[in-house]
Amino acid sequence: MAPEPSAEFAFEPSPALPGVAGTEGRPIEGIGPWQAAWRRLRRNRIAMASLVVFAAIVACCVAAPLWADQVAHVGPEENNLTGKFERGGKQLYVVTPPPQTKPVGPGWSGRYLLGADKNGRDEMVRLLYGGRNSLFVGFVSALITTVIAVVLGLAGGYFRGRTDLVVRTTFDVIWSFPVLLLGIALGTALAIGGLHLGPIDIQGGSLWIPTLVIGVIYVPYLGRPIRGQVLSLREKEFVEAAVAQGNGALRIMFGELLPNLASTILVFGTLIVANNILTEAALSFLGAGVQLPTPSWGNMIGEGVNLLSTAPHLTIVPGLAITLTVLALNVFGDGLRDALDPRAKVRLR
Amino acid sequence: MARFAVRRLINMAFVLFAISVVTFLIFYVFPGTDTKAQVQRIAGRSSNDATRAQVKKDYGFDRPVYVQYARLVEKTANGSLVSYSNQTNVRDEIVRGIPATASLVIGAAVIWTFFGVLFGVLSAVYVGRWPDRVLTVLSMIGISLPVFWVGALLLYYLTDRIQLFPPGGYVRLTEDPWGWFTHLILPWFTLSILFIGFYSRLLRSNILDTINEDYVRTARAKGLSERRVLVRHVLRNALIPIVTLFGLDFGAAIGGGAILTESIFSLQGVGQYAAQSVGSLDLPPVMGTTLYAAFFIVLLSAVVDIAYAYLDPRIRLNA
Amino acid sequence: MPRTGTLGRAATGAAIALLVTGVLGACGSSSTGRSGGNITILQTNFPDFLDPALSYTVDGWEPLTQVYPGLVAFVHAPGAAGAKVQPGLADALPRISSDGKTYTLRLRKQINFSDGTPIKASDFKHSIERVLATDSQGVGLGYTNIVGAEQFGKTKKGGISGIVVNDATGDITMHLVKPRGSFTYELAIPFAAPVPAATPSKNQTQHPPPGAGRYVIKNVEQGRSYTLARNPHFSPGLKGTAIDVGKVNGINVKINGSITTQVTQIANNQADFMIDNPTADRAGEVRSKYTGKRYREFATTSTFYMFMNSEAPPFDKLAVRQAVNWALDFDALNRTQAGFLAKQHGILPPQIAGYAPSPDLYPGPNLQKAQQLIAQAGAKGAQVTVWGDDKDPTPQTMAYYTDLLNKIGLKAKLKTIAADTYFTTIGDRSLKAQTGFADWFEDYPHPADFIDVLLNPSKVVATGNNNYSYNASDTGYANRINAVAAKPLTSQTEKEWAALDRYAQQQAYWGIYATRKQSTFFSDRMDFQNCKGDDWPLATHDWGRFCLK
Repeated sequence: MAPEPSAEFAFEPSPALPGVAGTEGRPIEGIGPWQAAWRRLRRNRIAMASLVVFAAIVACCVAAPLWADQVAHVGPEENNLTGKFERGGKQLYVVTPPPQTKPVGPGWSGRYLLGADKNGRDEMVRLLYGGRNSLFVGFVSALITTVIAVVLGLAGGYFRGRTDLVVRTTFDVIWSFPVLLLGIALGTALAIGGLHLGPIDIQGGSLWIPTLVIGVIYVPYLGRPIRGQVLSLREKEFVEAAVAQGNGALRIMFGELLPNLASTILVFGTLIVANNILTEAALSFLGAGVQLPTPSWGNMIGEGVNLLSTAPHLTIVPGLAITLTVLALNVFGDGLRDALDPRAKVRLR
Repeated sequence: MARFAVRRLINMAFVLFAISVVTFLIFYVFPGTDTKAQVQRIAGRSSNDATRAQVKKDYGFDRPVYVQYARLVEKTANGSLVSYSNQTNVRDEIVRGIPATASLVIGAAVIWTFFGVLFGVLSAVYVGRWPDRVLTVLSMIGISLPVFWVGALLLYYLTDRIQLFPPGGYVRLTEDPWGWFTHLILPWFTLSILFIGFYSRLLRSNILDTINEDYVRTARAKGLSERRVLVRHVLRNALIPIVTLFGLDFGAAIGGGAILTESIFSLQGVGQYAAQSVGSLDLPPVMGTTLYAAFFIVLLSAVVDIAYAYLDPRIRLNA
Repeated sequence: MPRTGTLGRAATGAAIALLVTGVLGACGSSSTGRSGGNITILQTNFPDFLDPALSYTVDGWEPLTQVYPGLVAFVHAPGAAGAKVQPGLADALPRISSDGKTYTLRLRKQINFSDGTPIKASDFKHSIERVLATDSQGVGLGYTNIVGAEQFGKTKKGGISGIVVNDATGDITMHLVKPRGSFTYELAIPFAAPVPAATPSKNQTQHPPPGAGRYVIKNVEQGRSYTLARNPHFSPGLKGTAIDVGKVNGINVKINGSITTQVTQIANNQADFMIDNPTADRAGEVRSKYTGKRYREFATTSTFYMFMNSEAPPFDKLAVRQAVNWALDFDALNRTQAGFLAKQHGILPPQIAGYAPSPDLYPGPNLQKAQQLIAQAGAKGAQVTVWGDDKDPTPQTMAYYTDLLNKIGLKAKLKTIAADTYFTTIGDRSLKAQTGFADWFEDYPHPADFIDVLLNPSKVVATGNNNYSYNASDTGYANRINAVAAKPLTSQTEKEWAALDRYAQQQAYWGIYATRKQSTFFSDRMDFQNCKGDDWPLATHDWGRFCLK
């Protein structure tokens, strides 16, 4: 749900001019545009802090099995409905017996640090594993989107004519589909039966289903700006020169054009990952994404909203996790954009 | 100009056609939602082979794929599309849901535009100082929040725990204006947060970009007041991309992007109807609502493009 | 009948002469509780149809049973009394021929629809034809067993030849293809309720046709609300009969998708009754505050179990099935369902004739024994797909079950599918669904409704199964069931049914764990002491027996 520049207007951050670093009063050196950008980024403390936060979150989630084994001693899908555990010297029910049936809340103990869910599963363990799954879907789908968008954008923008017509129309069709509805429809359809097309054989409950679905539905989001940029870059002299030198189309596309697209891709990259994490959460919440009992932050919220009265932590915790992660990504992405685009002279310090 | 418009319209028609085909295929190809699943669903639990064969025949599932598609499209066009699960007329149901969806989206659009522009301008004017920082932080948080999470929490804490607002549902404006308003406050807020955050930041960065353009410097050099410069030159140009995006976002939201908000607050609008229908593998409403939503998106996108081409000659000539 | 949305199928097969004793008189009107007033009822989902020929859910039957009585009517009373039938629009229970294939009834005199028009015998015939003409899901209940019905269902022309009516005398004669013991009950449910012959064979939810009941449906707003108002032209010929039950003047039904909101509204007396159980979230609070004053739970006649497909490994081995039974923990399952279960280890619930208390063959939970059995059977590590639907709280229950199977040594994975398609999906034999969720609510108080419908090996077919054990190879069991089902219900045959129940437990065809409790939650205005209106086998709650203080 983030920016979608229309196809007609190419978004074209020009590479940094050497010498901008000279505002500091140092002698003007001939540094390349990427190094200049990197320096600008490094100086942006808030952006770097967000990157650290994001990396920390990813690290924690990757280390989920460590937590599960060493601290909590349960897996993410292990139920514990009738048991008790020790916290603060007392024996507590994981899930109190009827008529109350209330899962235990957060507290200081290795097990059930963030409390338990309705089935007596350890919420912290599920949060970490859920994070793994949500981040997997978010990243890999972003990768899929990027690859497809770049290939299609390059092809359409470079070859023009009929190829461009096909590419442009594909983008139009996918984009005009109400995005969430397409995601729900595909997610629901595939979740039940899986995907069995030729060599591809994915089971219904696999993480690859939401990954592929989200990856495909956001292709136009990056594809259109790429295509627009390629369309305008194509007119530049260096491309003419490359053609005159007798370079083939593939060489030009991936050798000359692609590097110039790099900053666009980078800038959109963080946006797409952030967006996809939110989309995965929404789809899983509605039941069309990651299928329970496999945890993901979105479907954990879906389970939690049914217990807001007795166990609000089940809803609040995964939501905070999503917000924090996406916020960190967005802030970093902002910093990245600022670093790559020297036109914005005034930056948030 | 006319040629441009005509081309856009042809493109629009083709896109709608392609969308209808894709929707149909989703309910034809995949084992979870294909015709066999639909027949089973319609015929019900205790059906035997004979009943199911009868259902298959009566609903036309035994015809070739293109015939099935054609019949579906024909029914959509002449408004006789009927739901498989409860035999209600799809068009009637969509029409019934439009007031809720429209109230939600239009109201939210007003709110997000107003606050988005306001915060964007404030941020840009006080750039670097504390109002800018505060607003930027709020905006960043706003675009990072999961909409459904916020909605669910608001719904519980403000309508159940503390009964400040009515607990979901939609009241018609004609029946009870005050009720209509109170029922929509939380949904409006939930839906707007994301857009306010996004538009305010976009406007802020556009203004800051524009401020450094040459023509602004010229205007200042001419001696125009800062205010005049801001409004007449900077804001007008900074708003152009926002208008484009607004058109697209509004179209998408009216079309069904507000699905999550409607579902959480039980507004029974078109978005909720669409989501429920997918869940019950009910192809006719899915087809109807998808085309309805896509139509809005495509229409608004075409309108925006045409208006843009009209306003900015460079686009027209380049296209 | 299965609870998840739809009602089930009655037993087919040999003649079952039912001993139905009607108790006339006291059942028509209750001496306590005042009449009059309006109440508000909250439903979570709008009824599938407000059309007696089409509706097939409890959401639909709760209102429709008050509006559309049949030739025969279920008594408006709680518990076992409510499972009996009495003459409704007919003047007596059907006269059944000795071969069980001909049913004769006569309409009462002075009966009319709510719009004042008199009820004719041909109205009844047309109403049955509507069920077939609309491809209703009710077709599977046995109306195709009437001579000529299948033909009519195919062509939708020519009427059903097997129903012979005489409008002048009010005589109705029905010829069946095969004897069907449950047919009398099938005349008492909304599918067979007469509506005017002119009613089109299309969904009439927007403007429901007139019925002969105590109430009339008005002001239907699809998806949002509808109203039941007192029938202004209630037939003089029906006064004092089993149909004449209804205390309040008007019922406003509102649809509210959020059960937790419904609980709040009832607690605040903004509404008077809600159909569904409170969610797990609120159940504790409601129970502690209102039990005895405004809240009550009662056991429904149902069985909740995990089916195990004895045609598909690893559940083709007895030891594996037994292991599951040893491992199941009622306490844990009860917690996943917020305490709305009551323990049960047999096929038949206690309210059904043929139930006999017996020791639990698998007193558990005994995880060790289960693990041993699995290891002995060589099934350790066997891949299992567990099936469940998405209707709360089933996903939680199935998550527990999946984890349990993993704990005893199998490799289980849960697959959740939409509730609307769940039973038809697992009822497809070719799917070879190994194990999963199942439930069954009684259609009528006969053990055949459970054992014959759900476990008879000779009833295993290709699709549309209700027997998810797929025990087709157990022909000995089939013969025993068929033999008992042909005989009328006596204390001797009841013992035989009990033996069949025990055999099924020994074979561990099911992982049985419970019966479900349903709740009644009223506002302060409702007369909780005198008019609970609950525990009604036909449609769980009997709105006609609600009254205000």
